[in-house]
Amino acid sequence: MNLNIALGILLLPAASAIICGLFGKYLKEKTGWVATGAMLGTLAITAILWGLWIVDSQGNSGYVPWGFEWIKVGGFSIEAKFWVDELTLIMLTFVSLVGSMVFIYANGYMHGDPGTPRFFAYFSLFATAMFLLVLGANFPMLFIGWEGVGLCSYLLIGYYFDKDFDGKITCADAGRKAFITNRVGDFGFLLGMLFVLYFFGTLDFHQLFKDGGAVAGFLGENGTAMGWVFTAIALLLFIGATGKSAQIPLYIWLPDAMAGPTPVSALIHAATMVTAGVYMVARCNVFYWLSPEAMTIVAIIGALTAFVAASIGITQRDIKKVLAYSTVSQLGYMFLACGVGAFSVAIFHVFTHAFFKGCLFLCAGSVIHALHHEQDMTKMGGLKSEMPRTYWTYLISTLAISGIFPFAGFFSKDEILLNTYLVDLNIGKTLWLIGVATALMTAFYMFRSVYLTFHGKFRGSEEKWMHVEESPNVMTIPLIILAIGATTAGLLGLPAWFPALPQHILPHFLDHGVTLQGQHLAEQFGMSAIERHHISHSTELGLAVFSLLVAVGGWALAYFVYAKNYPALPEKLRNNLRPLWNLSWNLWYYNMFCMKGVCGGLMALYRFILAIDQHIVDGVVNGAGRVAQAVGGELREMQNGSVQAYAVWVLVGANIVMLFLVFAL
Amino acid sequence: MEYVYSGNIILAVLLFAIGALGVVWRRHAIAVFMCIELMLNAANLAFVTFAYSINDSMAAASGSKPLDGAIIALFVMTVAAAEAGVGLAIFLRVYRQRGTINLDEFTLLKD
Amino acid sequence: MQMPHIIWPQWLPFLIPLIGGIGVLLFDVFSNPESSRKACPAGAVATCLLALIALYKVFADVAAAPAYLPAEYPVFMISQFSRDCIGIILLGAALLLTLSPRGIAGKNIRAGEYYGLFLLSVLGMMLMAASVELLTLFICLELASLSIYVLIGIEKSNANSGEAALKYFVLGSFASAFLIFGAAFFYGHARTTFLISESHQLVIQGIAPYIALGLILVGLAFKLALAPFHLYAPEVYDGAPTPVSALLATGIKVAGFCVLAQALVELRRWDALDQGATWALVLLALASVIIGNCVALVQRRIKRLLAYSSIAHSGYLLLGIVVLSDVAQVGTPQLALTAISVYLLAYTLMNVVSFGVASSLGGRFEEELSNYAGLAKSHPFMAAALTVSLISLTGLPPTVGFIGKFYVFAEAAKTSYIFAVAVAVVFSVLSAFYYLNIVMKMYMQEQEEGAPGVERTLACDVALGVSMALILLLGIAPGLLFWMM
Repeated sequence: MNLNIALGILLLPAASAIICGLFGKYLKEKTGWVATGAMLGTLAITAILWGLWIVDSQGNSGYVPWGFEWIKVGGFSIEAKFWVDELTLIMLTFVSLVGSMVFIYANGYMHGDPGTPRFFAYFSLFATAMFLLVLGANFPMLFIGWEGVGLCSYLLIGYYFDKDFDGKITCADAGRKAFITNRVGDFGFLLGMLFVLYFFGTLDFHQLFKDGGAVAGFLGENGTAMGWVFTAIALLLFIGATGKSAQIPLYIWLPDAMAGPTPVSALIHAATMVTAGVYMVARCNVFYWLSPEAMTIVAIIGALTAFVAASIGITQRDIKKVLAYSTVSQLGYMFLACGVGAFSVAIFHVFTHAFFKGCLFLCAGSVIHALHHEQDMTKMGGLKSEMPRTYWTYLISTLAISGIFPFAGFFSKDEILLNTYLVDLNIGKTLWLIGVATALMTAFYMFRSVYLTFHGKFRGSEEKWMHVEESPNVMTIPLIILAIGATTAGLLGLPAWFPALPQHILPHFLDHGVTLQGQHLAEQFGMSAIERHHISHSTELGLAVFSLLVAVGGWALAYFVYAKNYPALPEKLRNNLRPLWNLSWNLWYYNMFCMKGVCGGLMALYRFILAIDQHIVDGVVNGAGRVAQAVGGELREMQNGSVQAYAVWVLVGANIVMLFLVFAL
Repeated sequence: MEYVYSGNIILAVLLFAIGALGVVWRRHAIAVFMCIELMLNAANLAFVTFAYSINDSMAAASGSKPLDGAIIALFVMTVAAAEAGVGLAIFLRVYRQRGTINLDEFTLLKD
Repeated sequence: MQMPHIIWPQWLPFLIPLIGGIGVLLFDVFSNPESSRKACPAGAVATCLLALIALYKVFADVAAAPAYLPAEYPVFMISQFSRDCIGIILLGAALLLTLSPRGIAGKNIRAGEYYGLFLLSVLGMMLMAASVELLTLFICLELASLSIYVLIGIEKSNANSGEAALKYFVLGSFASAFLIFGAAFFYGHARTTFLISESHQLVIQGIAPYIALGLILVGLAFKLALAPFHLYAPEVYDGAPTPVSALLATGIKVAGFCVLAQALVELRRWDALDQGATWALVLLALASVIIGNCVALVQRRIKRLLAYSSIAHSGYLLLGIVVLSDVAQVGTPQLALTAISVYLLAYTLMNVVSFGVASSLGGRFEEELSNYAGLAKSHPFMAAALTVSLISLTGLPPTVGFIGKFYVFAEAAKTSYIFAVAVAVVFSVLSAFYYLNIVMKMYMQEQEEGAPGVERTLACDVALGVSMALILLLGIAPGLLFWMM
């Protein structure tokens, strides 16, 4: 058996997308099981890939043998090739696992919706694109997947295209916002790709990054003189990542993306797609290692995004928006990890985050489902008794995301904070403090959502309370499986001070194959790369205990404010801290700035261009059209219906042809 | 080409031209079809004539006497017969429906 | 002269449609109309697919050296190019046959006759595409044409159908006469009717050989609907049953271009062409592009519009053929041949879809364009399929139409006739007006009230879905083309 089996991961969801799309009319809600079956199939294939890996770890890293020349222009060709290595396997694992759970869940969530086939067609297409992104062996393949997930996200956000979202914008608008913001990021990404092609002559990851590959060759030729190339490429690619992974300044689309059905939010906007940026940065870690400046910028942006998003999350009332901002915030952590050179830890956090954030969103979906599309937390409360499974899984995931020992988030987040603390940068300690503050806020707003939603008294209408019931098994079983993941995934990355069990399994696994490539290159060619201090295990333990205390502090605060003294204390706090509350509630006014400032400016420019277009370009084009139409009107007269007239034209044509042949103009 | 055969070729060209002009001029579909047959027969005449001339020169050179051209004429006649079968059937079908096969009366499909 | 030794397996791809066609005809004679209405289309589609498989199995390795049939008396040459063309004909025929049951429903057409003749005409096209001998070409062309004359007029109760058959018959046999008369002169001067023989030399003496080539070109140009031989096309396409129009627009053109390309490659090798021939081709191409696009702008009926669009596309394709004939062109013709076959595949697929949508919807959708208003609401799948094919016809990415056009134009731009390419590009931009106009009608305008819905059938959905998927897939990953061929 060889790696060709990995193609099944692409083909199964693709086939499912086609079946759901074409035969949805006949299959109706059965499309859900077709799509779920395909997804479980990818999970099985991923398991087989792991099996192959364990049997023969040398023979199973590399190109998938099957591939073809995709585009050939002159001497340059792009191949449709796929690549499997440590990073791919980790990504495949959680995408197929969390994906399968979300697909199963969606069968329950979408039950009774007439658009189900369309939903599952898009959903399967999304899975195809995501797998393509992960499996692609070169930038263009990654980019197709990248655009594909963006397109599907756009289609799915606008799924309820005729509904209003948020009172201010419609779902279709939210989809457009996501699409346009991502275009800005993609522009950077494309430019970065062009730079790579121009300077290194290939777009294939392996050809670029391997020992003695294109980058090494470039370094050998130019030494450190051309260091700016790496900074430029790294930053351009990072612009792409800020678009897809919702970082400052392009994060505004993700909270609005919550307009889609909840399973979409869970899979696309929490667990998989938004992590594409982190994946891409980790995949291209070489460029970052070779440019400490770019890494510093990545770290700063990551830390700031984590902080800002968390501060916004504190005041939001829509349960999905709270989760959306927490996603943005967690993504910030991941980029912070990348920025301090801990790429493998970033992927570790991606991995654990997929479980607990997927679970949180699905729980929120379960709640929204039970309350008939009520998303405002101030109208919830007391659901604990009616929806025990949802409550416990939500609680476990909240413990995980807040970084409470021993849940998964504790280990990954602590590892990020530790690496930030250790990094040899002037601002390293500042970043660490921002990270700790974010952890405090995270615990606070997440437990706030727990208390508002599940504790206290129900604050909605009597009628809604009558209909509240636990979701069916098809929805709760995925929740339980994901909660188990949120509890245990941390075992894959136990810290150094942890006794008895093997430590750092997942980070070491990645470092061995992918994420230290850049560091090796930097050492080899004497470039300055970001360094980290070393400290004793007991100090590490001390830091871990400290961050645990911070998280528990956030929890306690939330308990005090939202469980003990609700609603009096929050009201009082809001009135006393009005400016801060306003800042957070209004998303730091950034959204407004984008809408008024950026969009307004662009609209003015657009109107200007439109005027030119209408008056000059259209004139020329329409003129040409009119001339052609007139000519067509005349020529049409040749068509007079008389068969013998046509015979005359045949004779005329024959004579003309003959004339040319004989007199050989 | 031998001089003795030029007359035949000129005749074939003339027949072809007469046929072509007939197609354009005649109105009755059967007459038009006969003109087309005339054109095909002009081709046949040319084939047979060329076969003779090639035959002569080949015989002088190598002694073999291929008869390709003459046989081609037979094929063309067969095809022409098949064409006549289909064509007359179409004329008949149209005549039944429209009561005429004068070509200038068929302008239903005019734009 | 001894009888050629026949290697039966080599003929398999051609025997299958022959047996299938006659089988379908006979089956219809001995069974009741109800069962033959069900069995005949299935048998016909299966025949085409079988032949397609057989073709690629039997001629798997013609890329290295072409196969000659029969070996001692090579009237057919199966090169990689002609094999692919035959494959395209069969693929298009299979798709059209799948669409046919819906396309001819309720039109008082006897199933056995229709499917039997359809298969025989496909056989004629396949053989015609491969033929490199003039008499064989003539006979195969007639086999294809005679079946098609009948198919056009097969709708007995429809006066338009009969008129179309009459017109196509008169003009078609008129054009065939040019072809065979040209063949006679070719024979007289080359002393052979073979186009590929190495031992003969075409003697360029006097004007007779040019007349011969010109007459043959006229005969082929008529079948390819190149201006000014195109005038039959709009009326015949409009009058014929829609799947037959589609066959006229695709199969016979693919076969014609294949013959023309193979002949020109051989003639070039003989140095039998001069600039005049190329100029004649350029002129026909430009006339077709200009007339096709301009008149398409003012059409109001869907099938007439598609007829003019197919005339324009013949023009684009002929620009690819020009490359083969260009005297200044050096090197192997392989690139140009590949470009032409890619375009032919694209052309076949998009015409199958656009004619297929018209025939699947039937009734008023085979007539006025205005009936397509609001189609996206009432038949979203059909509207999507038609949109994809129209975008492909316009030549926009990400469709195979773009790839085909790009390859052909890129090849043609290498010759000294680059101005012709420029004209073609300008007019192909112009074509967006009328193609996208339909798309706009379907998506932006409201449907007239009281228009009845049309029932969809699985066969149509499958055929259109497959073609649409191919158009997009090959447009997105053109590399697949070379991997498949």
